[in-house]
Amino acid sequence: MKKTIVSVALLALSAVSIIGNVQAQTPAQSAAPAKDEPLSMKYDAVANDVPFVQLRNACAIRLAPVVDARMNKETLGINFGSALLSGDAAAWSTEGLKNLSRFGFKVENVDAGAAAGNGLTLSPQITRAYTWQIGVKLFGTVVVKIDYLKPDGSVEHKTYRASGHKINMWGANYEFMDTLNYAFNNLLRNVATDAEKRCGQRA
Amino acid sequence: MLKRLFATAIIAGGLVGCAAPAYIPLSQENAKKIQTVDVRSMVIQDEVIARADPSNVSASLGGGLIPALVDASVTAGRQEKLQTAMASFYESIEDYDFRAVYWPQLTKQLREQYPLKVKTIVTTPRGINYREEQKFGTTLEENQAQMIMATTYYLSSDLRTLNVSTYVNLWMKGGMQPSYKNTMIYQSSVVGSGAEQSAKAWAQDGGKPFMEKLSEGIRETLAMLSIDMKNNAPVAATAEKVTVKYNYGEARSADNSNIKGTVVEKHGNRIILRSDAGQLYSVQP
Repeated sequence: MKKTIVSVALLALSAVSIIGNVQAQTPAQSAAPAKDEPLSMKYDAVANDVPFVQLRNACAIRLAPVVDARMNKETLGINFGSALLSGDAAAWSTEGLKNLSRFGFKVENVDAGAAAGNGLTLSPQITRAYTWQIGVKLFGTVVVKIDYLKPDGSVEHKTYRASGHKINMWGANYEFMDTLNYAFNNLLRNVATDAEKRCGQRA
Repeated sequence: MLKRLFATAIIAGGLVGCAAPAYIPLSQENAKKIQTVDVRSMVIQDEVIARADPSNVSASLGGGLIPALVDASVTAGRQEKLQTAMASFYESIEDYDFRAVYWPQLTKQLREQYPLKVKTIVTTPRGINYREEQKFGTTLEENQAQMIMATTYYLSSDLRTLNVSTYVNLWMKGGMQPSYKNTMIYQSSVVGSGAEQSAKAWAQDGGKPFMEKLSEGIRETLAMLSIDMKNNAPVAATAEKVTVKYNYGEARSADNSNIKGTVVEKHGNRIILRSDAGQLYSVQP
């Protein structure tokens, strides 16, 4: 039985490679069932290339909900030519940023437009979230813009961009979401590093 | 899980076994039948991508798990290298929207310049697969046609050229394959010496070189769309034959460095040619 599974896996992986190459030329010309359901955008802290580490100078973070400022809020790419419809990207990325706590930050949720307070106040926007495929590899890219409001009322702005990837094992929609989670966790590491530099007060 | 693997293998087998022609000219007979065309233009991408060349070790070895894993690793490494090289580019050109520039121009062109009478135009980021396209063959009326267009834009794997590629399928009643099919490919002149140096060159002056070539790519694409529909008869024996340089990026080689075809149109410093396989290319020789 194991031998059979391995044989089929070999065939499938070769097949996916062929599909990927065809798809690179003609994105809509492959055959798979159409699905009109939005992709379940669930943040996954496990889809991470590098373990989260506690930062020595992590402070209190007041996190406003992420605003979905993407130019394309409708889709995240294609799978076998069919649209990958976007789920709630704002909720997904808000959930992801809450995981700054894994770096040692004390994360508190605040309303959008919150005034400066005790710690760093983060007002984020997600501006890009998309996936693409090359051969047997799936890639995802996320761009998030953050306004850092310091306790003294001054504001700093920074844009973060990161990508993630995984092997296309099953041709499943959720695998594209995995690449976005890998991308987001790569991005989160950069946010944590920057936030620590801006910490004026220990958590 | 096993079922899923089988499904993937079967789909791929079907694709390999039924390689469709890349170019299907619209016959005079079908052109006369068409009274109105509904158009669906799809732009899947949210921004320009520097596309790595896929590793093809498994193809040369006849498939297998280990070669496939090698391919995955090599491709990921190439793409990560490109993403790093592109960092400065994205910092300079963060908020442009290709769709917002392209679709109004496409709509105007199709309404005012296209040889067929366009009834409706749907612009969307939603891709549809080939089976969904084939359904048009069963739902269209005798004198109707459905045109499916997909446009991609990307930097070559050496980052020196911008490419805008559009494929078009035209479906008519009863067809299991398109009545007309082709791909139009624009390639810019070379910018920079490659890799990070080219990425920086594209991004100069707030991305002016990139935006200029993107606009040129849109103009050339729209021109090729109309040209191909007006002039899709078999190439005359007297047509001027040419061989022009084409940038295949990091995949270029002695055998992979140019396009052979016949001249369709020359304007300014650019040339539009029909390759021997039928695709239209707009290049700067």
